[in-house]
Amino acid sequence: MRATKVGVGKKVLVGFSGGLSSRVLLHHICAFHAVDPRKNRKFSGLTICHVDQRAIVGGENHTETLRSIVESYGHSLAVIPLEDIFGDDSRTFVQTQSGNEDTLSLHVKGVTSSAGSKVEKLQRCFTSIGKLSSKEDLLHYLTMQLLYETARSTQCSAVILGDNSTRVAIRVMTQISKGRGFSMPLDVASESTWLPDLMLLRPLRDVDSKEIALCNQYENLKSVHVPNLTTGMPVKSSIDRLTEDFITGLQRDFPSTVSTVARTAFKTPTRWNAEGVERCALCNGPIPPDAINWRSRHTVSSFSTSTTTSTTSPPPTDATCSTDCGITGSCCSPTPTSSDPFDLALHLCYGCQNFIRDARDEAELVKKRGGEVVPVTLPGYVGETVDKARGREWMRKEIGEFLVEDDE
Amino acid sequence: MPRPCALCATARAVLKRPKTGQQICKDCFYAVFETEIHNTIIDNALFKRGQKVAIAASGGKDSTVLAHVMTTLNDRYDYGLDLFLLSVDEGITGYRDDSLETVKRNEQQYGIPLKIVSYQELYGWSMDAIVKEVGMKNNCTFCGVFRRQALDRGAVLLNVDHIVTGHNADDIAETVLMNILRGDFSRLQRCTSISTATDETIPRSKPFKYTYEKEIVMYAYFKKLDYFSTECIYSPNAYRGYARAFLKDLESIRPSAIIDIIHSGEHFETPQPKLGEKKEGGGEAVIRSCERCGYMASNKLCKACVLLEGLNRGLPRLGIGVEGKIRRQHEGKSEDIGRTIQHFSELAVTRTLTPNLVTSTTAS
Repeated sequence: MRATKVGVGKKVLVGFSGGLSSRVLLHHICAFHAVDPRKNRKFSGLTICHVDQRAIVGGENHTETLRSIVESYGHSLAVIPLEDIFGDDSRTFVQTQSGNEDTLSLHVKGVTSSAGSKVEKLQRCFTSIGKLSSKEDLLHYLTMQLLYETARSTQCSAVILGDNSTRVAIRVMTQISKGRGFSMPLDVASESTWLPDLMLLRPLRDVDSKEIALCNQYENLKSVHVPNLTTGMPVKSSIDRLTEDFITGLQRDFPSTVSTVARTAFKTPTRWNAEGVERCALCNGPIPPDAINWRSRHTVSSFSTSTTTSTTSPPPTDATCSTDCGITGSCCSPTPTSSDPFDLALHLCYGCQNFIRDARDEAELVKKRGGEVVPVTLPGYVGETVDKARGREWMRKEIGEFLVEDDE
Repeated sequence: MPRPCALCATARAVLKRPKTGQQICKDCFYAVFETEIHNTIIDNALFKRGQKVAIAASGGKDSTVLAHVMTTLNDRYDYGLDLFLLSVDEGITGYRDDSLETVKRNEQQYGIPLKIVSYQELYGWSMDAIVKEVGMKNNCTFCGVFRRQALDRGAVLLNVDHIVTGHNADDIAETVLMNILRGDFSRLQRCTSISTATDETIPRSKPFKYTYEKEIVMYAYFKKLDYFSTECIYSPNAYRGYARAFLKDLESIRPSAIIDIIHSGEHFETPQPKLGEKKEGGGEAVIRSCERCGYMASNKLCKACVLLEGLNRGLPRLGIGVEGKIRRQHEGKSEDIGRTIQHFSELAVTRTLTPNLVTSTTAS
């Protein structure tokens, strides 16, 4: 901890789910932070944050137990309900067109409506995604987003997570299986510097889950059981669940599995830090440079798109455009904003594009059963990244002729 | 109610595509299947006009379909390639002898000349004899090392510019997972590359890199291609089995998982060092030529020569354990290394001396 690159005197946020790992994390961070007249404190303050996922996952209310645990260290616990990802009056993104068979595109439009409570919006968001594997991903990324937002609003410059090595190994396998290999180095790094304003720390990434459990026992730490979406479900119900079973099973027969997988991942680089890599609107991860066309080249699912490189059809816009500018969405407004309909797929990483496909398949299934299709609903933060990316795209277009580009 | 095809919307859908779940008709299936392979070939610029290309043919489903698709695409898109079939006879009774019959039938069907190279002929040992010597364990090491070299030697004899193999998407995804599980960092960085090419050897590529195994079987089934489908009798490989089972489960949860894994794997790729070049980071490994047979090697001797020496001296563990240690243990024993593999540079000579080599095997 002392050696981290987080500057002395900065505030940090500790993610606290209440499970075994984050319980150990909390214990040690608090001990590290305790007042000691012989040495200076490294951090100026701690924010301890718990994201309450009960609106989606269900389960008992542990808030009071968690609060008393944190208070026993003399800190206070910030409890953020997951539905807060939909702010009170802020925008939500709702699908405008029903998904189309041959291209992976999702046209969404920013709407500001107060219809329905935050919990309802959140539940609609999860229902529309359909498959459990995607829901798990979404749950993870929304939770992380809330941690980031809390960290920013409390002026923290780092987020500390309790991922242990078993968790990291499972995560490596799931990320690879979901086509997220490009961002894998960031998901396992002990200090990830991908986000410009927040550093992500994983101090427990070399400790495996058995050691964590023992540590809890020896230190007499009390933790709570945190269910997830597939608790009590069959092994094959989701990718995360299957992978967890696979890795823990292998670990039983070959005790070096977890450390081998984790170590291999630690030293495998990708080009996520290359220039021009954009940030995914949903998961905040890097978008691999070939994210849009790669899939359509190798999985030809329609004849019309197989020959063209651009698979996006312009969405219907009210604004009439006199020049063929090629920008998706309404181009006549000086800076395109996300309140116009746009194709979200262009702003997603390869892994997050799977959401779109799952949502489309779900919609078809519901239609076949004669049910009512829930349009894809996404929280407002998605728009910020998109606005930024499109703003830059527009700026680039404006100054395009004055930029000197290499021929190579 | 018959469902219309999701692609052409006219014909009746007869199959559900494993890769996408779309219900499509037979003709559309052929079209997408072949187009994807064509895309792979074009995007990666695998071949140049006028090249001679050997199809590594085992007689199994992958290589049978590969031979069919390569001939079809070569005609349709006019690649201008000269195709050959190249088979390796490991000498496994009840397995390879039967599958080679399939390859011989393919030779007739597609009118492509066939060349068979055998372990017996190259190394003086058939797999049956090797298994008798080393037992059921580790025999895949011999087979794998020998086959790699046998294919390259066969390609030199055929004087081809390129070898294509039938590795499919499932195989590659499985290899990515295996390399992670085993912690094989350097293999992880190269296992997804579509072709391997060094200055010394003939480039090899995998046109089926993005093609699902299930679709290959489906293609063979609807096209009524006959292939040989028996597992190798010496093949049980427990650890790989875990990865395979896991991959199949993943595929059943999300069909795109296989291609997603390949997508992930491609981002781990790094450029590989060329012959004589040092690896980045100052590693010791340099690609050089084997002192005994001239094949590329990372040590003084290539793996095949070490394994062969072990077999000939009755020390089959020589190439499997720590080589130096085993050599020390057996110091003073007979140093007769027995028969060696013909030097690589002599292969070209053999070829010019017997120009009718290809045709003579074809006639048999």
